[in-house]
Amino acid sequence: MSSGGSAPIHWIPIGLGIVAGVIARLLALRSDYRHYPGYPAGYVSHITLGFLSAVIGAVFFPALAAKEYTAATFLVLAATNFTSVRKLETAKLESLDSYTLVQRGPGYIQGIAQTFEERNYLAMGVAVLTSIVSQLVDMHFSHVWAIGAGVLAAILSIWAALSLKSGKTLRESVSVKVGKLHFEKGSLLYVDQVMLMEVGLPRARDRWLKEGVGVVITPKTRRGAGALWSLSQRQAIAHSVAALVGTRSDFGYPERTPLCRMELPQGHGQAGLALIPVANDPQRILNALLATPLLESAKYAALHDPALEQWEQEHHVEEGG
Amino acid sequence: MSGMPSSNPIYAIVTLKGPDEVQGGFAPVFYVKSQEEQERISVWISRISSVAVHDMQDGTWLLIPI
Repeated sequence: MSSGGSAPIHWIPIGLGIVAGVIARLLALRSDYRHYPGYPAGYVSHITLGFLSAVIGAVFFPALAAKEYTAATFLVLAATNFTSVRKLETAKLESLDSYTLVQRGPGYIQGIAQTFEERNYLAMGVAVLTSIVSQLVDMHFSHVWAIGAGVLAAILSIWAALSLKSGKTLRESVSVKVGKLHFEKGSLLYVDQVMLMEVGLPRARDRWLKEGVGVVITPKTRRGAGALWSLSQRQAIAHSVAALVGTRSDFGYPERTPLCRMELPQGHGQAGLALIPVANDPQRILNALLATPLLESAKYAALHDPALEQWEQEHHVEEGG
Repeated sequence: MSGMPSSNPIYAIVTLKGPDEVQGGFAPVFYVKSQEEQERISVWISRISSVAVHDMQDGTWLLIPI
């Protein structure tokens, strides 16, 4: 192969790489229906970006093999581009958040934005791997073998990429149960033994007792215990639940804001959530809570606190789960 | 509106106590004669400005943005 415009174009690795990259992006797209994007326009922009990253990934190795080093540097350009995708997503979500009653919070927003950036890299990575395998086989065996090897590499790398994208929810790390909302010392709102806030207006207290729902959250793994202590994670919980079951709240009614707080002053590690839901279905509320993503910013804290210890004793779990 | 817990300054004070006991620094003070009046004024300011009402349990209510 000589450098310059006369090098043969390897359509098989390029084509397979593009298809594999786009498939990887499409499969990853399926899991974000709950947070974002919610509209076809959002899907179109993400699929387009996924396609572009797949193209760049797919031509990387064929370009190198053809000694087209300039073409390979396009990869660098792409990385810069995807970083700006994250910035764009962050800005967009932040501006939406400023007009949301129960905000996602910065931790959740960064998590979503970063996920979008990562998924473009994953699409690109899948395309690179597929085209490398396919071209190497193509150079030594026949076209048929190249297609077969490319498809196999695509399946394996897509599987690896999808398992990387993880996207854990709280379901694996906390257990939840409906608790009893009550007031202590006149106006302090509690769910079981977790104090949430001070409600000064008598009529607001009546409203909470009549229509409010309280949930007690107990960690069942060390990750769960660490996550609950994260303020971002609890804001994400309040946002998720409010978004999925609705909250009878508005501007001008701050005392109805859904809250998720830790049990204090003891701090044994349980958290409480209270809201006045639109759909008063406790099971739905619990499911909404468990479907909250475990935030990346909260994911790496692993703690062992009394609430977790108690849960482990009750469920006969060895320490270190 | 902010869902983030914060240390916001007091927006207004609505009290059953007299000026000799409760005085405003930077926050306006509403002196009221009955609990009904206290509730009415507090609810209105709360609805208009979206501030939370907190009962200090001694006849004084603090209105604080959340």
